[in-house]
Amino acid sequence: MTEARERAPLTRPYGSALAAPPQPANLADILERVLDKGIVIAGDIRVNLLDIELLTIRIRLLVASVDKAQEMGIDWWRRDPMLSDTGNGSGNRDGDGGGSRDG
Amino acid sequence: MGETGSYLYAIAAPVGDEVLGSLRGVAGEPVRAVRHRDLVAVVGTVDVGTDGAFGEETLARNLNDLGWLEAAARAHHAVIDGVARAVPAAPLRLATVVADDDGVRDRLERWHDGLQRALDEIAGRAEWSVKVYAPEAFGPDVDAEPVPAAGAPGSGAAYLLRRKAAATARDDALARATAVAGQVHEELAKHAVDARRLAVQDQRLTGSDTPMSLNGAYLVPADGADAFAATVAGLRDRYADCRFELAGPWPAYSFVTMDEP
Repeated sequence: MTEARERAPLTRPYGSALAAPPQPANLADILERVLDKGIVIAGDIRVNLLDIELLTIRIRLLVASVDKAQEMGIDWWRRDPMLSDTGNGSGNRDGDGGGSRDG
Repeated sequence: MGETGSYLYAIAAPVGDEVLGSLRGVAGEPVRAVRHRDLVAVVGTVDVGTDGAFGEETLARNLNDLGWLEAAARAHHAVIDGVARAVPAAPLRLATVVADDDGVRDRLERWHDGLQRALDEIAGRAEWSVKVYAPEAFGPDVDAEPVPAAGAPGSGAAYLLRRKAAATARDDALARATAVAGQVHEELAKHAVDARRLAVQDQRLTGSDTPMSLNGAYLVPADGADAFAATVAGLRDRYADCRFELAGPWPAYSFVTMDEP
């Protein structure tokens, strides 16, 4: 696989692959990009948003620990409505089984 | 396979089947092109039935399983990477699934102009990652010297002084790394079309001896990649006490944006 990739045509838009041969990307780099970056298009399969939020929080805490980020003066999570735990999402207790709110 | 859906990896400029032929998707499935006007959606067919990995309930569970998530994330990335090495490609967020290829074409039609603009923005460019880690904190080793016998004159005070010096050294190293991060990012942004600071990664995850102070993403033209690498090398020499990591090229994950139509 790797060999085939290194022999790919030189016209690739990435360019300069000879100077920087592909390397296996680390998991944190991949996760932060495929979960957090890239284009969002609404799909038909709607996964349970609450589960995804839980997952995202867990992964984000793995990818950037709050302590370290604070030490570095980075406070991106404060501006993230999904992560700023101000309790504004928990007041909606409709009690029925569905519970999902329209986005 | 029960009920199926179309899993989207990327929106791209027209791409040959020989590029897609060698790629396998998140379910090990072959990937194919769904064409609409001048855009291509790179998709694979996945099982969205109640027992399928991409059925709503199963998917929600799978996404919370770090092992499954890692495999899916790597496969998702590998497809996007394979396409982006051949043609301009805008990556999609993980686990975007629509009912069928007609659904894919509907979305290509609805978001055509925004997608086209996003592709124009990243055509001929790639994302590079530059990370900076704090220098080693060269404080006195608190535990190096044997602790004097209790009651020996001055022993407690000396220990506390060493502790304090070590803490100060760590603070200095962190302050230094934070300052270097700002200077490096500012300099690299001048050599890039666009630049972002991503969240720094946890030390437990990086395995580094010292904290990360810069996790930068830079959008660089293909013919400027060598010059960019040379700039990083120059910065590495200038800030020799900090550790640098240069990685790429990546698909332009951090630089694709699309406004609602």
